[in-house]
Amino acid sequence: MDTPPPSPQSTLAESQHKATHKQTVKSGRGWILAVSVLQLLSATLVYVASRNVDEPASTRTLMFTSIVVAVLGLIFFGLWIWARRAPFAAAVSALSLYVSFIALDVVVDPSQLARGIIVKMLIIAGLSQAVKSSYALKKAAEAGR
Amino acid sequence: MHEPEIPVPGTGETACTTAPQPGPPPRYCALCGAAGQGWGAAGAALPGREHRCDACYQPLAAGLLHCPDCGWRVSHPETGAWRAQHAAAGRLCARAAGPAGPAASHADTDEPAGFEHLRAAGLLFGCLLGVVLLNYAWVIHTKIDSTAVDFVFAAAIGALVSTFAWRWREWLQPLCRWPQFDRRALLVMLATPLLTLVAVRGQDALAKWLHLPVVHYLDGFVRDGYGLGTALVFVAVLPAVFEEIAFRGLILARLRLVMSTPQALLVNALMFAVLHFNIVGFVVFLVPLAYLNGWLTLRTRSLLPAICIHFLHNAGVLAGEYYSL
Repeated sequence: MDTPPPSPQSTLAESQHKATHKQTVKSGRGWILAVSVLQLLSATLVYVASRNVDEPASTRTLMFTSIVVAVLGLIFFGLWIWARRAPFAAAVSALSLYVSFIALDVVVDPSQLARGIIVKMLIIAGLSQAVKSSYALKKAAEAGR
Repeated sequence: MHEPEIPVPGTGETACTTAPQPGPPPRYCALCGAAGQGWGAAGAALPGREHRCDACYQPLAAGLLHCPDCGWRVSHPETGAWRAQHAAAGRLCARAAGPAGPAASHADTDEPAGFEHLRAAGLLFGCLLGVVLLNYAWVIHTKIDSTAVDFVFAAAIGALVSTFAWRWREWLQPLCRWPQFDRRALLVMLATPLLTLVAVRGQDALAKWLHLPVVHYLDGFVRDGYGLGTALVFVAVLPAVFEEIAFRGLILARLRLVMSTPQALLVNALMFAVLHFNIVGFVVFLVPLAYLNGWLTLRTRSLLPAICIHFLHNAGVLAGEYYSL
């Protein structure tokens, strides 16, 4: 039995949804890159600060922090590259990674919760939207195949 | 007797309501507040239903995000999950419920089909993360790092994973069987613990070189008067069983439904590695170990090989500390 052709209105609705999701996925990749750049910048700043501290214990702590933050930045950079091929999986990974380390940061030093809260909320919201949209796009692509 | 006509918001039209009649009490639309008849569940095509743009009042098809005539963003309550839920519960009048059609099913709601599996995986991961962070918070802020805390932590993780395993037992049952080995799976199973143990030694050397703290799992048990056997149970046996059930049994099964198998394996491995909060070990051995365990679980269709590898790895680390290798 032949299926009826889609109406122009439903085709328009589909293309509108697709365009919106694509835009959100693109911005999701942007958020991953933003996190990566922020982490790498922070790592550089902390490293520079560690060079200017005379106390060996503080220098060691700052070095440790800079290495951890730099590795995180590199991991997010890797996720940004992966997001080109697998936006959904990369967004899920980035979100779980980011939320976990933010939560650890808060556990170690509760005053961290208030610092940069708007940026943190924006990043989490952006990544969450990217997860949803990339999944919706993936489902749409599977349905159209 | 007729009541005055009530304007319907956003449509420029009016809804005529009749005076209360003996019988069922009048109902009011959750969207426009109009009282009257003509209620129905979502999808029931009632005559005269029409959905209009808020700005130009042109009729709109269901599922559109923007009006094709004026480009106005269609207001969320009339297009999203809110409207779908209220229409399904029969709380919208005929006009507010809008036209029913295939486009209104999933394109109209916020969440695509199958997304609940990702939410379920996220829920389990979030619960595990919560327990791990509670443990850290206790140790950091009370400065009490006794073995008793480790026992409570292990019990909490065990109870949590057991609860999820019972609730989602249909996901776990296919993996509770004797493994089906082929040559490649056997090779991976034999080689993985050796490779990861070498990687752990490399990680310790790297951490020392970078002046990072090196974790010794056995120290606390020895300090509190416990032997190698107790350490083996709490560091090797319990984590191997519960972490493998949680990650390779429950989370991986859910992730595979929303993404391809290699992607699910990698995301699962990243989640597993994140939960250990060991930044050097993250890339050196945690992600590879978790990926190989996931691959082996799918290949042999059993959780046993992954549990064995995890146990051998953790026991190897303990043995290395015990014999001061």
